Amino acid sequence: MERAVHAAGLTKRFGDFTAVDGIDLAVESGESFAMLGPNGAGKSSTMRMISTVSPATSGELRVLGKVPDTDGPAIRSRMGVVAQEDNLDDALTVRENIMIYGRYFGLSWSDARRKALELLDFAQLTDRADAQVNSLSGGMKRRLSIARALVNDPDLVLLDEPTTGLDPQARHLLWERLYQLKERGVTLLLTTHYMDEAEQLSDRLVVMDNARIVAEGSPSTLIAEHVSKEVLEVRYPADATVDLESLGHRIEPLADRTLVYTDSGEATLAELVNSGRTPSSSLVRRAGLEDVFLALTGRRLVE
Amino acid sequence: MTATTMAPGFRVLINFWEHQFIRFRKTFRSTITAGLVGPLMYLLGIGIGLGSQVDAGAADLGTDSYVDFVGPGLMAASAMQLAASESLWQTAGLLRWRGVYVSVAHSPLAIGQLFVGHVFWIGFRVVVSTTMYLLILALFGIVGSPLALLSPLVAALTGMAFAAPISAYTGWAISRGPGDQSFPMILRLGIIPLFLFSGAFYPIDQLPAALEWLARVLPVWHGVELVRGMVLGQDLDLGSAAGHLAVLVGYIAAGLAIGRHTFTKVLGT
Amino acid sequence: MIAAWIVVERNLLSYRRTPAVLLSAMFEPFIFLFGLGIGLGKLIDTVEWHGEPIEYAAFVAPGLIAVSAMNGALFEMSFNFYFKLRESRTYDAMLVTPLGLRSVLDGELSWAMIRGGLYSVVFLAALAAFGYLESWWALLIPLAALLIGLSFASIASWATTFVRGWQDFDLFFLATQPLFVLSTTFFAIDVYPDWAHPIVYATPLYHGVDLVRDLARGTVAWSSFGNIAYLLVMAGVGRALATRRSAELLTT
Repeated sequence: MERAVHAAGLTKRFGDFTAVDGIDLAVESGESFAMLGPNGAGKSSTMRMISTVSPATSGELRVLGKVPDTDGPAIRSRMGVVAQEDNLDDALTVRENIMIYGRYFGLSWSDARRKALELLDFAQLTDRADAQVNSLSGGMKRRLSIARALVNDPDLVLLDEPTTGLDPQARHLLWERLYQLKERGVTLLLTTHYMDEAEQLSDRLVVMDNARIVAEGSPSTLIAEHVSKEVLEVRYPADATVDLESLGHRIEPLADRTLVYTDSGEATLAELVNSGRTPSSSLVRRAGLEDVFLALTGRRLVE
Repeated sequence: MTATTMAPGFRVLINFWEHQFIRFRKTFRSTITAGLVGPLMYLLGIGIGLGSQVDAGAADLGTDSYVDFVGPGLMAASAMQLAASESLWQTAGLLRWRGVYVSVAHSPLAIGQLFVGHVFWIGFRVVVSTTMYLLILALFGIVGSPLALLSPLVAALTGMAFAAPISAYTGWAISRGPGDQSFPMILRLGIIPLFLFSGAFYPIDQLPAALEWLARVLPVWHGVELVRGMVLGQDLDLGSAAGHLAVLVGYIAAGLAIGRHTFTKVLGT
Repeated sequence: MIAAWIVVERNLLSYRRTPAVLLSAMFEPFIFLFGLGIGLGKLIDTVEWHGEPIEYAAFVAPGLIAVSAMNGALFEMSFNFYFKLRESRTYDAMLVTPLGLRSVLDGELSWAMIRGGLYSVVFLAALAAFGYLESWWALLIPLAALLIGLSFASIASWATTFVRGWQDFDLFFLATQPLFVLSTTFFAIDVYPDWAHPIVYATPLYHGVDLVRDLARGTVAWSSFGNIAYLLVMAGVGRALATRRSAELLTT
């Protein structure tokens, strides 16, 4: 089976501004792949090129084995795209949104109707089938966007920040639905600036920053390579000067607290207490992709 | 105590006008261009062009020429048109997006005052645009009396006679009713026919009796007659002028009362 | 072709619950015919058309068909097109389906054209009932209305790609006013001074009005082919420009 996405030296420029700077990507069929990075890192521009609506400035790109410039319609017929900002058709009802989308993909009206029923069920929107789109909550709209993108039974689904702006409950429901898709063998390519989302949903991921890929791997290998197993977060009163230099593998001072990367958070905390450097508050947690990003770029991901 | 309870509503009103004025200033140039080009086109096309086809003797226009008849009439009728469309789209915009009304929704007093302020604001917009109309009329040599200088104020009253009830409707339509989908229909099936039957293009006695009667009941014809009399300085006896004015003021007063009530009810709860 | 038709289906679906919005525009030419034609008809005895005196309402009515075809197309390709292009991002959603940009735009133009043409059929039937039609040529008027709708829709969609906010539509519609005044809808071209005739010939609505009036009166002449050629060129140029501009906005 062909690779879902293959990119080599892929570049996108808008005038003098370079949005994507020669990145290489390989998304295998059936895997779930995430692009992680802050706003403006070049994730959305990459997604737009892959979704064939934005021509690459230079470099090589193949999507589902085909070249976007010449085979756009053929690629799009096997792909589902969920945009960052909902672009549902608010002149239509929930059901009609899916049905007319099916028509865009060449389904007959009767197939589109059948498909809509199935997808409404998948998105848990059956009881809102005939509601106007404007009356839906943010989470419902996002689920409808995803349902709509599945109307052609795509082999590859692109999701640009699927849970941005949703409350925790809506996020978890959405993750669960995406997990179901993955189980069915659909290739997922998503962007996110949430570490927990990338950890939850992706088999592999790339970290993007300033139009480039700065790291690549599975969530666990990235954590193993770039940070330690655990993180100790400590806070001291603003006027205190405490020397933490020799602690753990690495320390990361932030505005309001200090992160200590260590193999055992508890042991490091005990070391502090024993040496009379007891913090005013402390927290021991597992290291996450957030820490990877911080280690790679020296900046936090979500401010 | 009295001073502090009075002040917020009044301050809101001042803030509202300031806010509107700043927004208005940003689009001032296109408003001026539109305000001058529109009348110029109407006067050339309808006044001169169509006027050349009109057999001035056949109808009792009461003016020297068709352009004299139609020019001032259109000035008043266009005041209605502007006020009506502002009352729909601008009011809806304020209610929905600007949050100006909604932000003071905790104070019913302020809502009522804001409604009045909004209607007067539309009156001000009408004064600005009909003053430009008057300039074009002067350019065509149609102005025949110093009273003409006051005619934009009468045009504003004509506009407000529509702005008050229509804005009241908009408040209801956006909050509780069918929303803005009804707006194009109101303009198309309500305001455009009124524009044509307003007595601006031809004397209303040319109309079938039922329509003539309707034209006399609704405010626009009164505005047309009054503005035409003031601009031309002829055929305007004090009695009928007072009658026209009373009708306009009556519509405004009734519209404001209904609007204050509707807005307070719809937004104040 | 089929892809463009599906875009038309989307528009039909969107008006299914609010047919009144679509249908109310159908009354527009009737209102103008009655409001001006009848009222002014008493002031204007007859007007001359190709050397023959005709009733004023019979003169105005065909022109109003052209005007309503233009208005239907303009409304659709101004406010609605802008909303879908910039605010609801409907086109972004369409472009990630197999529909290409060309099909999307052609679908929208077809819909605007159909909308204008639809009004013309209704008005035409009424005119026939009033006895304002003089010729079998009048059967071709719906085709002429489709052409007028298409040419205005094309140019309007191009112009709308430059609109930055709702306020800009004031200028957009301001630009249509001279077209209306110069269109000869309400009076014939000989009313204008000679020097103004080239200006009238240069404006698009004149060609629509002239074409429909010739069809209604059976006075079709070589000039009618000139009208058709003008409108065809306008449609073609407008469509090409609009396609290029939309591509710049949507697929960069």
